[in-house]
Amino acid sequence: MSVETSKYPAAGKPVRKAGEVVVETRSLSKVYRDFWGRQKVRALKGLDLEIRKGEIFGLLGPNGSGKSTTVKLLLGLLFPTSGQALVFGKDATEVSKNERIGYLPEESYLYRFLNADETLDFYGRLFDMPADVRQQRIDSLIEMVGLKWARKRQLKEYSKGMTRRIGLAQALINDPELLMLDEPTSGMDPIGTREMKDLILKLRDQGKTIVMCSHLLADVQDVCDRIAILHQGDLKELGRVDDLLTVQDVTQIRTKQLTPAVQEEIKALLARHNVELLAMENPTTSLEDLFLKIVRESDAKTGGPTIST
Amino acid sequence: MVIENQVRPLLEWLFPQNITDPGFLLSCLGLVALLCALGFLFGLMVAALRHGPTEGLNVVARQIFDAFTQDFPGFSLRRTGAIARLIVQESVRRSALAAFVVFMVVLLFAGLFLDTTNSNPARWYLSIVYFSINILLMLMGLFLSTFSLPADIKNRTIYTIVTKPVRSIEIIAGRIVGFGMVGTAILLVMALCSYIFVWRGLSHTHTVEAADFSDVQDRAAGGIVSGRQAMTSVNAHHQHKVTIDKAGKIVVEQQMGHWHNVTMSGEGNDAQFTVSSPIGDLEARVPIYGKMQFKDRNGKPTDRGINTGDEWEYRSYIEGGTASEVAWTFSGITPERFPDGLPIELTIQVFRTYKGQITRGILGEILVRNPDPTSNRSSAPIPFESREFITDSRLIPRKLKPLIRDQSGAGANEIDLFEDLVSPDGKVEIVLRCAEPAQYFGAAQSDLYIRAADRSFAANFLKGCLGIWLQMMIIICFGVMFSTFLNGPVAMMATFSVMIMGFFGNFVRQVTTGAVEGGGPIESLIRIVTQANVQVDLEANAIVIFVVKNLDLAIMWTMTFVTYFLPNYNYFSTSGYVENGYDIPFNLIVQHLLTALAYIVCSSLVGYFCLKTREIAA
Repeated sequence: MSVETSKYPAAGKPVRKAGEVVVETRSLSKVYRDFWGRQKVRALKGLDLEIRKGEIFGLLGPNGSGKSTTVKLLLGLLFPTSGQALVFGKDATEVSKNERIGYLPEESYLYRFLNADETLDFYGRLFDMPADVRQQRIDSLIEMVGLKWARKRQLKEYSKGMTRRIGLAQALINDPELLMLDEPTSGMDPIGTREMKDLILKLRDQGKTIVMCSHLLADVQDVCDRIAILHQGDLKELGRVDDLLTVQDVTQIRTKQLTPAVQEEIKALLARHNVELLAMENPTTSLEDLFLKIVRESDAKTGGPTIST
Repeated sequence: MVIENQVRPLLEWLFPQNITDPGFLLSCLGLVALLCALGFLFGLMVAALRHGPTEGLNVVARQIFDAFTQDFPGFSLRRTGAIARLIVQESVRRSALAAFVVFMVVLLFAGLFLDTTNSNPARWYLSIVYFSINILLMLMGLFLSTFSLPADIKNRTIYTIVTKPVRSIEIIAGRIVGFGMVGTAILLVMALCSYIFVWRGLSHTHTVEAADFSDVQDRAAGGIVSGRQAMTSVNAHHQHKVTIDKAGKIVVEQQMGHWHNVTMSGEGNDAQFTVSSPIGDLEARVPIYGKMQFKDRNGKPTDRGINTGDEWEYRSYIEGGTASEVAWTFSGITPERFPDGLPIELTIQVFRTYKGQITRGILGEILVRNPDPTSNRSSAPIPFESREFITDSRLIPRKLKPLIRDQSGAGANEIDLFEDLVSPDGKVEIVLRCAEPAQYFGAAQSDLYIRAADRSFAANFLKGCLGIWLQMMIIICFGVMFSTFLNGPVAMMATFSVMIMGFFGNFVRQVTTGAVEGGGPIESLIRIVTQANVQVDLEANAIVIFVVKNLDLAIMWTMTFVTYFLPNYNYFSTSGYVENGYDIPFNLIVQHLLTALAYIVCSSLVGYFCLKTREIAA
């Protein structure tokens, strides 16, 4: 996915102004029942959420916490047992709201007998797009997800990463205002993961609202502006990622080329002020960054494709 | 062979005629209203159980309101077309074409098992191909339509569709159109292959040499030579008698439902004969039926003729050598329409009270009569010899001998068909009498008709396929409808049950009303197990019999009620027309189309509401 370069903000993220509410849930509950109407499981308990325009909102939680149920309720794939789910101010079961939504399911539930072109053409038709607009959009999306070379191959021949890419392309076929991504990086290699995260940020920068649910915490931390943590159907935590992750009583100073003498001086200074020194060490890079660096250098030597970061 | 049931005029069929015959439109509206009421009550019951009565009513009302304010007005042909296209691609990849392969295998081996010595091989060939196409297409429609949507739901591919602005009605319509397109394509190819198969199977010729001919002596005229006669070579298990009269006119006897044109070139022993391909086996006759009226042995009008004890009460009989007759009154008879006279075709059944000369037919007579009471004119009887089990074609010429000689002068021995025997409003009466005492002719409404025209057999063959197509479309609609709320195998069983009930609905109604003996399903089961035939009383104590009878009654009346909602597949079958060489009337096609449309719309709507109210991800 060749997208514009973007660096993840090392500390803190730009604070966005509160825009219009795109997604809203009011005491949203879902109970799964068996054939006889007996309660099987209470998947969601009175969820209250507001997701505003232009933010990346992450739904976090272990398996069975209710995050997929929430997404399905927002998409109208499930009906609430009680409460309300509103998308763009409309009831989630209204079909017309889907004009402005893109959805990437957890698995790419696509027709495996179609090729990439046919897949996007099919979904484009579902949006009633005229042929010329559709074709233009298909070309640009296939280019964007980097599947130009495989556009005529049936999806059953695709790897999981390629399937995710074409899944993302179908979610973007209508240039949606709200994008629902269920485990967007699942099954992708580190390069694909990085590209997906870049793309999510780019889409956010274009003013789109993104709701993603994932249990890959690092991915959520990298891209989300706000998160909700669900557990057993209950909302446990809701807020901005940087607010939630900031440790208020610890201060971190990062410098370059600090000599041992200066380090000793700093230690002495801290001791004079009775401040407990927790650590003074050289930081380690993330495995993801290391991997990408190696691949990038290898590509540069062999003249292979360049990974954008 | 005749078509028993007359096709009603379209307007008469469509609109109410009397209190017992409300017409299609009113019956259809009544059933739809009943269906809507039942659907509403069922929906309300389910919603009330889930949400409570007030919220339940609100939910149901909202669904109906959404349907008419959003979903139906927002219906998109492009989205429907996209789904239909996807279904075609899916069907092709799911080996829907296997039905065609099976059909080709049937055709390849059919030739080995076909009874080529049959008295009417064309009918035999056509019935085989129609039956094969019908069965294969119905099975194909059944399997494709019932497994597709449940598979989409199971594989969750439906998630990426319902999260687009696609209405449930578009999903239903797209599927029906898609499966319909696949079925139509296969049907067309099958029809083409069948047509070639039938044509090739029946195509043959014969040879006849000048040396084969021998003189024919007319014994009645004192043994003078009246012409020459020969038998053709035996081909396709038969041969024809060829007669050349004194005037050189060649007549070929009809055999196995056809004859050939024979042309002669040269004279005497050097004459060369050319025999054409078969004629008359693949045709589409357009009959004009008349209104039938019987008269008893005293010449008094009666509703029906005599019952000779035949269980099949289709025909009734007139007695020979009496004033008994059967007359058909035809309308719209004009000289412009029939410039050469009236071409009639007659199929009568003979009931002999004594054997007589068995190789000879029973003698009868045909009269042409002016139905205008002020005219009282009639032709002299035209004698004929009955020919059983085949259709006897005759031309009633324009000039006929009068029944009573006109004493006035010139032309006294001749009357004109149109001037003297056709009433001013274009009606003519053709009368059939049996001339031999104590012998009987059996006749029914369709046994005598005027052959108004001949249409293209190929077009008629295609019209016969239309009946199969309609049956397939109805099965597809029911399959899609059931698949919106049942899983694949269960949906298939439900659709199959509808098929069975549709085919045997009439039988179910007859059992319920007592027209057919044997009791309901439980009683039948007991009788089968205890080997008690239907004539004996059920052996069990009074309470058991009471319970069984009443349970059966409840089941049978429920089934009877259901049969009125289900399509009668036999009704749509028009292959009998083609097999018997009759053109399928336009009226009938329109009636079938409208009936099928009613089923297609109703099942689509039920499917729409079921899919709309279903939690796809549950």
